Amino acid sequence: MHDSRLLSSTTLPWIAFLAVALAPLAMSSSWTNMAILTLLFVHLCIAWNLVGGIAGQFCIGHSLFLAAGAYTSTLLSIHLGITPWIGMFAGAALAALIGVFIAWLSFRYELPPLSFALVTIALAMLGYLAISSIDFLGASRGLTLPVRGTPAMYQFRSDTTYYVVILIQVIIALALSMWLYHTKIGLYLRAVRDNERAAHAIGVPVLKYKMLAMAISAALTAFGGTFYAQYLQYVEPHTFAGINIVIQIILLTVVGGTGTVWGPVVGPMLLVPAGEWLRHSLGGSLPGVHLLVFGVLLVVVIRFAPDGLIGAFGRARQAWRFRRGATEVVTR
Amino acid sequence: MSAEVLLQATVQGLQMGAIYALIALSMTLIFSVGGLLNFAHGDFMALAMYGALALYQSFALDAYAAAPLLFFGFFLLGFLMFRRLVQPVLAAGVLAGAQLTLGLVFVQENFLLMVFGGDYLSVPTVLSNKNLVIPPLTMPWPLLVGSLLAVVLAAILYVVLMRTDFGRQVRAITQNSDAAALMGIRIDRVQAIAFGIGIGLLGLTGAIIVAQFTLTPAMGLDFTLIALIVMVIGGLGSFAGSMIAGAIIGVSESLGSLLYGGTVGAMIPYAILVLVLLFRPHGLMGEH
Amino acid sequence: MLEISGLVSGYGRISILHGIDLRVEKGELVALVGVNGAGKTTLMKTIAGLIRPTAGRIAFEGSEIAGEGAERAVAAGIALVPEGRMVFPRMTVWENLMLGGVHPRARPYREATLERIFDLFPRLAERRDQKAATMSGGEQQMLVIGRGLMAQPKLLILDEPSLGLSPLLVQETYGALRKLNADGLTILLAEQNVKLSLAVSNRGYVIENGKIVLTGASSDLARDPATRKAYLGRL
Repeated sequence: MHDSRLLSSTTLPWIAFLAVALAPLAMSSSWTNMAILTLLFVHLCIAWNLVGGIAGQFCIGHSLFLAAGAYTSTLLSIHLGITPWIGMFAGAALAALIGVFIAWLSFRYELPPLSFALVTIALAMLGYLAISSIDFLGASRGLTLPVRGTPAMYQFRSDTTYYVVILIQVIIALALSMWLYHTKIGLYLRAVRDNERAAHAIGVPVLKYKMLAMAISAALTAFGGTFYAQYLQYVEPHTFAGINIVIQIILLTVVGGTGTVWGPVVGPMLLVPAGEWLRHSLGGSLPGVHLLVFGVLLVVVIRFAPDGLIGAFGRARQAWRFRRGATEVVTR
Repeated sequence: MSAEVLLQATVQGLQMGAIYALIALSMTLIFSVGGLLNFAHGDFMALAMYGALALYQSFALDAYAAAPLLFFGFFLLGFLMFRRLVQPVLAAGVLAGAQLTLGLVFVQENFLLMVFGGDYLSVPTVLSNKNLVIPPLTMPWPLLVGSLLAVVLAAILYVVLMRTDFGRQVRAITQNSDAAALMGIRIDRVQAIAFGIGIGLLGLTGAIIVAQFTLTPAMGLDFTLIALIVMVIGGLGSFAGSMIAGAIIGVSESLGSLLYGGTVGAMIPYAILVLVLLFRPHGLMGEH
Repeated sequence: MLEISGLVSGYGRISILHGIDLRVEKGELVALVGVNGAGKTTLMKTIAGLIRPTAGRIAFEGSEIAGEGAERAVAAGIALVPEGRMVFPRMTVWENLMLGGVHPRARPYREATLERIFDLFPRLAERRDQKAATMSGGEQQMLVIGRGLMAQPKLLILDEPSLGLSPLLVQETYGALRKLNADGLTILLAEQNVKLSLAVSNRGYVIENGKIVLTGASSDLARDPATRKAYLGRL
């Protein structure tokens, strides 16, 4: 009984996820680009959710981590010829370091939740402005990656290979997030989210776990940054360090359901393809119209399901069970 | 660098600061309504600026004449939006509210992009391209008038909040909403009106400063961030604090870009914000 | 004046009150006594419209007000002086009092009522322009009673007015309540301080685990062995 429930609550979503995620492999290559973009956002949302959802720290500074990943691997590749396969770990280490510093800062100065959001937004803006003005980083023009065209340099001829790479990244991130959520660490993080003082009082090492969550989240985001840079073959501040992408990550996670394991998967998997579809069907007519419709869609979901689609789904299932239970009583 | 140039930059910074303070005060008013952090704040003002453009293009209505119209229009927009959209989401928590406003950023920016396109636009007014010259200072009339009106509007807002029954009700809800309910205050309605006034003020502000700015659909976020900075540095809800913080940010931005270039000038407000949040978490003039 | 029957109320799905019957006649001073957690505050808040009851009726002067909200209760003429004072901390005494009379029904009489309150509590007149947060507990208690009176109530409900006050201030507060009642104000008083509240009131109710277990004239209740054993013995 217990085992079968465990099976249905963890295995079924995995099967469903893999079925949907692998489907583009069987489809024409025109779908691959969209699938890559979708999985990239799934990856970034899972990473953000570790801090923004599970640990409940409303962080708007994730553009810093994305940029750390993208710029570090790119610079190492351009100047020292180091393969991004190694560079990505340097980027992740840098991002983790920045993340740990932010977590320490907010803990040391006891920032309340909204002040934490403001500090991270300010740091993100400082990073963006700095990157856009430093020539070594390409300033606002950005940097183009040298064409080397070999898998050893994280460059592939076929989009399908990029797709496989990001799929593997997502699976790792998802497994990690699931493991974190269900172990002691996740329990502690959720305790910190619900009541930091109480968590501290019962002996949860709050700072340690905040730093840990931030480090993992930052490193994962940086891996996404390296991947995105390699996929686009260039980096520039607006895409990689602007807060717009963070706003997108947050909104996609919110629509799926913050603080849940599957929310950051469901949100982007539904909405990124929807956004791309809107762009194809509406984009030619008026500039911005597809993003407007997309934005309205987001707002409507937040209005009617502030706890996200996962939360709404849970409520609906509960209501259905309740009704079924009630009819059973009546028929008996 | 000559003293005249520094003086010029300082005066311009002070004038921008007055405008920043007004935007921050309307943000504070909205924040006082159930703790909503409005990330779409600047976007509402951008919407008003484009509204002034549309009124000029369609009816040859000058932005200054359109200002009252935009106030009432935006008041209504804010009132209805609070009732139908913000309030139900806010019931799920302040974070959900903040996330909703992030969604509104998306909606408004792309609405403007769709209707007006992505090009830089400007709105001609009676004051555009005219300067007041008081040697050694040269002051653009739009900025001068905009900043003076901002001070007047901020003072009116202060009097309304501190000296009227309506203002006392708004503050009562902020300080203790349960006790406010016991006074028979209709919290929903007062909050909706306060939110409406906050958004209405943005409509008004957009109209009176539109001549000073070049319009682009994504301009709102910068204003939001500046307003957040001024609001936090000034200490939430402190009128004098917002004025001083506005002046600090305006002058440091203006002098910073004069002395060290535009990027450093733009970075200074964020650096100040980080430092203030860390060392004076309740702002320069904040209470408790 | 106030007639409560079969009232069930609580927080969320947890019921605290399990069928309360209680009535207050015009001009009475009624005490509701019981230990901490018996349901006094929940009952007071439900009457004042802060909590929506799940069952039962609350009739005030013949009209039903259960679950209609705080605004309706104030409009009908009920003012609650809440437990724990709940002043508006960053506002002056005068501003707090003005807010007490902000409801349209009370607004026209604000100036006159203010004079009466300053007569009753001269200390408030002295502290007129002082921020509420800077005042002592006793002064804050006077302020919230004054604020309640500003609403022109027909029925004044007080939740634990003696909590945390020195004996001298308790005497002063109760003296003021007795005076108000003598002037014709109907009062419902919830108290842990059984001895004192039964001494000033006409009638009393004893509440225990969300149920009324005993009721009668206050003098009888004070003499009743059950009350004495359960509550008075501790004092």
